Amino acid sequence: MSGTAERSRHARLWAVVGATVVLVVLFPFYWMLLTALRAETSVFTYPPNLWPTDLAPHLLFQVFGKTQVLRWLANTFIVAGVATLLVVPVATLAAYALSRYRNRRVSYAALLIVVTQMMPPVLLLVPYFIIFRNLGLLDGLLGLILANFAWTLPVTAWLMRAAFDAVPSELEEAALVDGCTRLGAIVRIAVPLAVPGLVAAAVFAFIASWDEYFFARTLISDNRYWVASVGLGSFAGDNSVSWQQIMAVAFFTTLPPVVLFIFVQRAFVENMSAGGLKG
Amino acid sequence: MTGVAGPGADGDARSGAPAPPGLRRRLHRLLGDPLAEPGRASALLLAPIALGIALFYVGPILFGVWASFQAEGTAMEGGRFAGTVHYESLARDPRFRNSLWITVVFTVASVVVTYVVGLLAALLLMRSFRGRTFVGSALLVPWSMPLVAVAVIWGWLLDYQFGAVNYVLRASGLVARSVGFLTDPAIALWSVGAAQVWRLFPLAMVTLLAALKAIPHELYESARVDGATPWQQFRHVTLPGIRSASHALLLLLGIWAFGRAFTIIFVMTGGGPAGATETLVVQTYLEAFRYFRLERGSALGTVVLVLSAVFTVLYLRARNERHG
Repeated sequence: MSGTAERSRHARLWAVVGATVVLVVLFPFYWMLLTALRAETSVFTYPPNLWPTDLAPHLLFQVFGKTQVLRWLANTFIVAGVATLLVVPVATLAAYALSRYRNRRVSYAALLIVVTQMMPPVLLLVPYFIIFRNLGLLDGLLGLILANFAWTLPVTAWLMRAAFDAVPSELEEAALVDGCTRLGAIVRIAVPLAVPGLVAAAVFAFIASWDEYFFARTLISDNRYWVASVGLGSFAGDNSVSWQQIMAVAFFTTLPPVVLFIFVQRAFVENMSAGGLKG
Repeated sequence: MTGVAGPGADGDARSGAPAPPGLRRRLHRLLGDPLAEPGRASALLLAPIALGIALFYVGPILFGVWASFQAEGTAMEGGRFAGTVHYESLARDPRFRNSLWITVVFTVASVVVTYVVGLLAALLLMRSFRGRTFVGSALLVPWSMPLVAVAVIWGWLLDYQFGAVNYVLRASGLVARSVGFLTDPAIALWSVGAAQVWRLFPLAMVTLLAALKAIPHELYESARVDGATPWQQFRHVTLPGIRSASHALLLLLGIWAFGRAFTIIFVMTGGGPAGATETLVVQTYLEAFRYFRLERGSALGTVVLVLSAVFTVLYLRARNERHG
């Protein structure tokens, strides 16, 4: 009896700890929202108001008129979307091979993929810059699409491999016995069964491209082709842009990946701890 | 062996509209099943990704290493071999030594703190309490946020004049005057490190939670029967149970903090104040794209690559140990 009481007291204590941790960890997110929704005058009041009592939601949308954020978001959407569309077929085929075959070629490919994930991207930057410049791909979305394709390809293949690993191969074997070709078995049986994990991996590729700043900042200088990360980054240290506007743009840049993340969270977490580390 | 599952078969229902059977059959007779033999199948399936990696990784890296041996300003137009001048000048450059040191401090500190915070969060999620699922999901939010957004949000939180953190510190009497989180060279590295940890700890949390869940209950029960204190249980059951996962996680975090941490630092401080947050990666970027010394930048990039490669070999060893 006292054991149960003690346990429920403990449970309450941990619930309080959990709630406190969430409040502390999510405070930056909360503060971004609050600042984005406030008039500039109340952003600078002292002491700052920590509560959502003086919000002016229409300000959030004023940023569309005052900055280029809509164009940046559209560019980001195109770059991340097309890069993901290019990555998915290549990564799916590779992932299938990584999951189903055991031979020297597969081991080398697996090693190569892991190594590219460990690699510092900084050494790629100068070559990309020079090669893209010679090909006339600087200052356009195509170059950035290619860079994001390259950047997300190995990790997507790796995550997709975990998706295929979770699907038993017996059904494909049965289809082969029934006269289906291997490609037919992949397309009609393995892929449909692995779809949740494959979609999660594709979403991961999209989020990664959405997030990408390093290449975007270097390969694009013409602000008509800026993506959201570069546009938002350009506000850092720029005193002509108000904190309200910066936080509003940060909010719109954050929204798509966070929403996508919520949808695939479970697969994402399982994939990440399975594919990312266990190998 | 026709290569075509009959209409209405299970596979057809899933894959939408298949090609007309006649055409499919003719193609099949012509080609056979190109993927029937495993060796050939793996080669064909892996060919596209191999081509992608060759074009976008292997080739550019070789080009980068080549560029690091060319005379300044020549790599764009075919190059002129200059030997190891850039490496020699780096070896003499105090700025390079500064970046090396900053990188070591940043890597070690951010990895250790990310790991500890992630472990504490994972241990919290191992308790049973109401709302645990929500807490678990909420703690993943930082992980899904774009790096640049993280950087500007933290820049705002840590602002000298109007930042919320300085307000809380002053109001609570912990400091008399505002702290220059991003302007004081002694503090700036820890500020960008905090943002980095905030963004990355959920990865550690998720990985360690999976490892913690895999520890059999019986181990804890028998430890309790033997009269082990909670600390002894943690020390002798929990820690050994998560050791191999921790090993791989620490190396991965280390490799990423060393070679990939750029965006948060660069957007928050640009490497300043006075080089206080200038890691090797930031210095490489500045060298190549602010001072436009592409060849010297390539030499720096090569150094980063070689050092990363050492960590990567260690990581692969750790991983193989876990599987072998």
